[in-house]
Amino acid sequence: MHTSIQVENLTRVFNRRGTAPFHALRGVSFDVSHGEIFGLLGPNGAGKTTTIKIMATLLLPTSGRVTVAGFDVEREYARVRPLISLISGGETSGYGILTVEEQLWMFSQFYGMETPVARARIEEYLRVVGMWDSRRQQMNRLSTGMRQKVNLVRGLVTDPNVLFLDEPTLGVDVEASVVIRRIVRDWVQEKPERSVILTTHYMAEADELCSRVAIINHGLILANAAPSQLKQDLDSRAHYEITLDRLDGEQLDRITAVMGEGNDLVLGADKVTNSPMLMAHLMHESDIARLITALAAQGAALEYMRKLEPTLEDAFLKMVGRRFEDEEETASPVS
Amino acid sequence: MKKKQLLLFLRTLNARAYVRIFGQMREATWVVASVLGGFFTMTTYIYLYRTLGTGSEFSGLVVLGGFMTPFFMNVLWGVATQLYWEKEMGNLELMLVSPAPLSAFLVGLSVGGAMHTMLRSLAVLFFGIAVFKVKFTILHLPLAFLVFLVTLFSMYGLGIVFSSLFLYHGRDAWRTADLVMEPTNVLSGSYFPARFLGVGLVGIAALIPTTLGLDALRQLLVPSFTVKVLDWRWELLILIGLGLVFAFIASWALRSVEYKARRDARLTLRWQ
Repeated sequence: MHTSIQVENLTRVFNRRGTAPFHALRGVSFDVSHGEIFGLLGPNGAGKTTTIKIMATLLLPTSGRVTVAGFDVEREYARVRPLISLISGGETSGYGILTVEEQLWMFSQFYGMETPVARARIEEYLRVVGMWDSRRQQMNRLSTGMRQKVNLVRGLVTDPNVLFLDEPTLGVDVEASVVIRRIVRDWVQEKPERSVILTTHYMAEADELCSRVAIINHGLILANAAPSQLKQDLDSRAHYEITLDRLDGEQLDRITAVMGEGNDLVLGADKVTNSPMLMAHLMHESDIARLITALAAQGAALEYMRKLEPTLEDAFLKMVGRRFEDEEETASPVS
Repeated sequence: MKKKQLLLFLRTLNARAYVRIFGQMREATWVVASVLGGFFTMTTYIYLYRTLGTGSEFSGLVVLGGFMTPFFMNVLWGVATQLYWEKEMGNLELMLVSPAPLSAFLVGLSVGGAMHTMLRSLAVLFFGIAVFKVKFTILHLPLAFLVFLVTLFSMYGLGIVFSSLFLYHGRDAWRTADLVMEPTNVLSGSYFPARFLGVGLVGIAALIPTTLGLDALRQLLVPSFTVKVLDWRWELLILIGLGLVFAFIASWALRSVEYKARRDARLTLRWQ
C-alpha cells in the first residue's frame, strides 16, 4: 500500500512567557497508508491536536519531519493544502448570517472550485447527510448535530485526499454520530488515494472506524496497532459469563480440578434471576468445550452463555496507566 | 501569477466579499443604526458650524467627512481586526488550511467592506444634501471619483498591513484599534479642515490616507473650500505612493506573520 502520511520523530515545544517550555510532542513517528482510517487516541493534552495541526500545515514542528502525499508540510505547505481538509468537533466556523448552501459554496471557492461543480457536490453531499431540505436555512439556526453535518460536507465537497477529523462527533447526538461515521467509512473507500486521520475520545468510534490506532500520551506514542491487536495484547485469555440452573461450591471445586491450572472459575449469582453465574477465564478459547462437558457431568444445565470481549477502552486505560507508571520509574521518553 | 492561481485568488475574493455585501444586508437593524449614527454625528457638526457662523462651505466639508468616515471605520473594524475575529470564530484555521492566499481573503474583505460601506456612506451623503441643502460642484466629478478610489485603495492597503499585525498581537492590537479610533478621526480632519492641525501634526496625519483624500475631495467638490493642505494633484500622487507602499508592506507582512504565527502557535491558540 502507498503511504499517504509519514511522521518521523516529530517534536513540538511551546515556549510560554513566565513558564517552563511545554513539550507537547516528544518524538512521535507513524505512517498512514492510502485507504486507511488511522486513529490518534489519547487523553486531553496528550498531543493529538498538536499532531493534527502540524500535519494540516497550521503549526510548525520544532523538529522531525512530516510529509503528506509526499510533500513536506513545513517547506511545501502550499502543495499540501489543496489536498487536505480539516474538520473539528464543536466547530463554530463560517458565518451565521449565511445559509447552509451559501456557506458551503463560500468554502468551496477557497479551493478554487468552479461554481457549477461546487453546487453539484454540495447537493450530493447535503442529500447524503439528509440536509438538502435545510439548504436555505441560516447557519445560526442549526442544531449542533446539523452544524456538524454541514462541517463534514464542507470538508468533503473539495474532494481532498486526506481528511483530518479532530473529534468529529464531539457533542453530537447518536443519530448524527451514526451518519457521520457511515459517511466517513464510505468516503474513504470511494477512491484509493484517500485516507482519514481521526482523533476521538470515543473509543467505540475508533474501534468501529479505524484500521489502526496510535495511543498517544504526554507527547509519546505508546502503541500503534489495529484495534483488534491492541485488545488481544491486553489479555490473551478467553472470558465467558455462564448462567446455570444450579451449581454449588463442591461442584465448582471438581470442575476447577478438571480444567487445570491457569483456568480461573469464579462463582457468583445473576443479579436479576439470582441463578448461579459462573465467570470463566480460560487460557484457550477451545477450553470452553471442556468446561461445558465438565458442567454437564455435574448435572448443571446452561441457561445463558456469552463471551466477554475486551474493549479498546480497556486496552487504552490499561496502556495509558501502565505507561504512566513506566515513565515514573524510568523518567525517560519512550516512543 | 499562473491562471489557476489567479482564478483561485479571484474566487476567494468574490466569496469573501459576498459575505460582506449580501450577508450583512440581512442585519437590517445594524445597517439602519450605522446610517443614523453617521447622520447624527454629521448633523451635530453642521449645527455647530452654523451656530459659530462659519461659511456654508463648512457644511459641505462635514458632509464629505460623514461620507468618508464610515470607510475608515470599516478599514479599522472590518479589515484590520478581522483576522483576529476570524481566529476567534475558528475560521482562520480553515482559511489557512485552504490553498487560497491570506491576501485574497483580505482583498475580498476590503472589496466587500467598501461596497457595503458605500451604501451607508451614500445614504449619509444623500441625507446631508437633502436635509441641509448642501451644494457640491459636479464640475470635477470624474476626478473626485478617481481621488476617492485611490483613497480607498490606500486606506484598505493600510488596513491589510494592520490586519497582519493584529493577527500576531491578538487582543492587544484589538484594544489598540479601540484606542486609536477617535484620535484618528481627529487627525484625519473628518469634520474640519486638516490644515487647522498645523504643519507638524498634518505631516503625521498625512500617513492616514483619509486625511489627504478628504482634503482633495473637498477641493474638487466644495467650490469655496480654500483651507487646503496641499494641491489636490500632489495629494493624489502621495495617496498613490502610500497605497503602493502599503500594498508592498501588506504582502510581505502577511507572509512573514503567517510564518511566525505558525511557528509560535498564534494561529491555533484562541483567546490570546
